[in-house]
Amino acid sequence: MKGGKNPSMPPELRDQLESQPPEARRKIEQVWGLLGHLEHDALDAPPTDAAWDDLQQRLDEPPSTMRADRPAPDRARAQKSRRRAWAGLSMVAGLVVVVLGLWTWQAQVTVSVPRGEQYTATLPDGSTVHLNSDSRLRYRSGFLAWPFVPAGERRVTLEGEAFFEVVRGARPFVVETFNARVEVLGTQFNVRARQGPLEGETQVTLATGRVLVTDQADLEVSTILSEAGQMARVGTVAAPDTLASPDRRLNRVLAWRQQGFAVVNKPLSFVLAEVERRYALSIRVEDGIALTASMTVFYPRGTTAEEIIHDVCLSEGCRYRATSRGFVLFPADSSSTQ
Amino acid sequence: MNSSETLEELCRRLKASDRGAFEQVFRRLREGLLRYVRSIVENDAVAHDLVQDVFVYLWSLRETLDPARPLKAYLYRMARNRALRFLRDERAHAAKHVILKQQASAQTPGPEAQDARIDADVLNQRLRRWIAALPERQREALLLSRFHGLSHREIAAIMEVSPRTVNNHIMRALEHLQARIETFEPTRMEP
Repeated sequence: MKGGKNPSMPPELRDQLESQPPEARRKIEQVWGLLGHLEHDALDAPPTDAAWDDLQQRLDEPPSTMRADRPAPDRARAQKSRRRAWAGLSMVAGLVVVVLGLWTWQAQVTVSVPRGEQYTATLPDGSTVHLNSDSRLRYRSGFLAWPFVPAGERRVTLEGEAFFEVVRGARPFVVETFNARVEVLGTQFNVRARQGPLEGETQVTLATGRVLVTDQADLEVSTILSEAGQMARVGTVAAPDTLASPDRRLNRVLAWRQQGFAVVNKPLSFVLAEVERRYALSIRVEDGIALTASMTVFYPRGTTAEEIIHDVCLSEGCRYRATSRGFVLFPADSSSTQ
Repeated sequence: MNSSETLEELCRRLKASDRGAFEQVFRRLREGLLRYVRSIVENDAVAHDLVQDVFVYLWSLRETLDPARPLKAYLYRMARNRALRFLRDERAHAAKHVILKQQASAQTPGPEAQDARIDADVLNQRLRRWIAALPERQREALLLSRFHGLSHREIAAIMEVSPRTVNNHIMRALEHLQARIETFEPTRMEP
């Protein structure tokens, strides 16, 4: 009997065997070991990759009725007909990994994370990227320039927010955003590059290592970050943040990775847009609330949309109510009956 | 960092709607679940469908997961419930199931069993048939323990019995098989 194939008989069985005569014990142990030689017969089911693709499609379907808060009826239904369920609003919009192009070497890989979700992607070189809600990352499959020819750099393009853990490599690792270029050799850092009415800059915050941040519009302008918590901003329109300490800044910038939530010194409208994005909700604000009031909110780890809205209302002196799609905020005095 | 992550860590990330973690859980546990469900429903296609359903359901309730509780046993239990429900719903299938099992247990070792040059293939085949012929619960407990790396405690949670019962089932199953092997090839069991 090969010992390696017989790694561990559970302790409970062993104990029981203790009380049996040695001969009987040996025989049972042999059977246990013999079973280890039993080869699995082939499974006549789709291979795991295909099954995963199929699964992704089912998850990406328009939100199903599979709600965690009503498991019982759902189960019965899903079981009965295996019909895919449709309804609801804010379930899984889904994440889609699309491989474009006819040739593998031309293939551009896009990792797209919808609102309300986060995703960890592994890049061809082994680096990992944690993507925040409503973000997209693109790169050449395998970081190849031509068939079997590696590109000169490991280049990815980011829209949104992501935390990078880059493994060391001979080729520089480059993150391009709409207006900036971040170059590194092996390090951890956060990039936020969102465009919209409320923001239009690229923020790079260093966790460890060194990075070089360059303005795409003016390649002469570049900044080296070498200390944890240092931040470089390209295309800044907003006022600089007021956090003096790099430690405190890093905590806030990376809060999203612990399912926390942080917005520093930004208008209320910015805070609400961030909540909408993070939790895939829709927030309506009634007249009479000052959207431009500047505020700071910080939850180091796991929080809920309701908790944030509750606290925001507390500090702004407004009230809120849950709606089917999110929340509505209204001035405290508009419902004086309460 | 990815391959070394424990299921507990993955479960925590899954709870935060991390698709990457979900994919890892899927890739790690799918095949085992598939084999387990197949051993109950005895149909590969059905097993595949049921396991896919289990993962769709897991995703839908990811936010309610408790990372402190073993995810693996939880998934096995969900899969088991679905498989048993399937059997219950398919009366015809259930009937067939019984017939197959009777055939399996009716098989007695033939004269070639006495042949000293019995090769591993034949023994494997026999073993598989004998396992199929075991009483349902004994077989289930044995398979979960031997091939799915689950502890008695976890198996107990999956099968909804006490760990003691699990132990008895497995011991019985082993004794059963041992008796069979003995009649099959009395002198040597080395494959």
